[in-house]
Amino acid sequence: MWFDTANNNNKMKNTVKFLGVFTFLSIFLLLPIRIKADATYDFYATPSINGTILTITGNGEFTALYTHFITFNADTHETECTGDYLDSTYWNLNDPVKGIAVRCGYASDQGFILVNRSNSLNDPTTLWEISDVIYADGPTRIITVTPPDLSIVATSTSRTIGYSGFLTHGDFDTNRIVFDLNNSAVALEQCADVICSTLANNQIKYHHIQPLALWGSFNFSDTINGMVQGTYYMTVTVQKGSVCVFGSCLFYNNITSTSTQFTISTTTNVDLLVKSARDKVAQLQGSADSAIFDSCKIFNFPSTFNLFDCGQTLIYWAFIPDSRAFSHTLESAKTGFLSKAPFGYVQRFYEILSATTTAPLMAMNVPIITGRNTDGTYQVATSTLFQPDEILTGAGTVLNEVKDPLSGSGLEDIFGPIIKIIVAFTVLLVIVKDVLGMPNHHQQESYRQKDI
Amino acid sequence: MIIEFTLDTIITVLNVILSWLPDATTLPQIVGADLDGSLVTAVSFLRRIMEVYWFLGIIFDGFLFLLVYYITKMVLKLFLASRLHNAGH
Repeated sequence: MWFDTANNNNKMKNTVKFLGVFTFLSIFLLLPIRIKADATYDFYATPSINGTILTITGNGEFTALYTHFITFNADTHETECTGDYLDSTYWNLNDPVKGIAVRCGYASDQGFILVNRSNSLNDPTTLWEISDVIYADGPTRIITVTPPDLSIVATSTSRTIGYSGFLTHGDFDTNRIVFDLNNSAVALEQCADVICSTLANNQIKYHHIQPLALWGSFNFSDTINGMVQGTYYMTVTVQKGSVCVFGSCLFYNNITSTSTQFTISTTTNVDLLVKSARDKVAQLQGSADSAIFDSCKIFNFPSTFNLFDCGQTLIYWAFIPDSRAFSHTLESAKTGFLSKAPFGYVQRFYEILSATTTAPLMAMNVPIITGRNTDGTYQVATSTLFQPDEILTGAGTVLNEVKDPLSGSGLEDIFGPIIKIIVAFTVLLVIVKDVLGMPNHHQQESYRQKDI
Repeated sequence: MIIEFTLDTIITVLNVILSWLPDATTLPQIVGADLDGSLVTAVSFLRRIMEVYWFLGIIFDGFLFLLVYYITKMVLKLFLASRLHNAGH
């Protein structure tokens, strides 16, 4: 007997309890992490003013918008500065305002948008005139490099390398990013653009130039094979061209540059488990951080908080596997233990059988025997080239030409679905029979014989 | 997330435990015969025939599905056989 009902009921209850506690703890422990997530300040803006509303739109995230309203008294020529904090992409400039300068910035208070009102000071319908705009996007910078600086990564057949950063409007001209990677402390001579080469003695150098056609965020990533153990040095440099003709420049000046290093080393099984656990925590944190939990944000009450939606989201999040993560897990199994003997052989066998590549059937020469010599050898007059693939092609043409005169459908169109249903039903039947442990006819006969 | 988490943990642990096993990404050579290459060629010929006689392709796909089922069952039995056996007692 497989199932002990009472025992299983207890197990089920315990499992449900565990899942409930786990879900509760996951959400409520991770919520503060979500709230404290780092602010994105890649904010650049194109302000537009309509009446008393100033709107800033951009592809940045307005996570911390500090504004300072400076009120100008036209009569006394005095200014008054009031600070304010807004988390919205627009705000009202309350009338009457005599004159205004709006300064926006992020944490380090760099960059500002200056808006002056130039027409009649007391007319609230007058449009504000943008007299000067300085984009509040901070300095040109390299934000991330992959692998991170001073990181120790496990040996692998392939490794992702790359970077991301931001080019400001002010620095935008004929720009490019120069990316170099090598595993030698001594600088190697540069190879041609976008060439990755593995040199003798396991030396690797990678040189890539990325021209920038737009200002704003930039990123690059690539996969590099054959990286052996050791220390690797990466340099990412943002450059601005000078003396340029049609996009080609004679000289390039560095705007900013970063040099990092990482180490590839063997890892123990414990390292792998720790890394896996760390990835899972990051995954949990990422889930809690995402917008799908807006309905669970009790601090946003009553704007987005909705207990019913929150419950639905939690159940979905907890029990419905994400297809991408699921396929990633299966891929991990495929490249992991399923690629080891003996599972690897089974997997390879399946891969070969499920491949869709075709090859034309082999042609062969068939000798025509006309008689026998006195010494016993055969007399071969000639040989005929036998081409089974041509026969097959001919058969295919005949099959394809059989069509229904009314609809014009071919044999495959008509009978294909029927055959698919029959095959699918047969497969299902075999599986169901196997799962239920139903004996086949011969087994039944043998049982009957035993009983007798 | 819980199902993902459980599955991912099981697979990570299995990957680690079985990491000492030798890699097997191609079929072995038996007395000098390249089993992998031969099978690839044979299946390519079969696929060519199935390209023309399309109904054979459907039957073959059904057979592959069954094959996956039996392989999965075999792997599960290998790892969970004792567990399944003990569950009855």
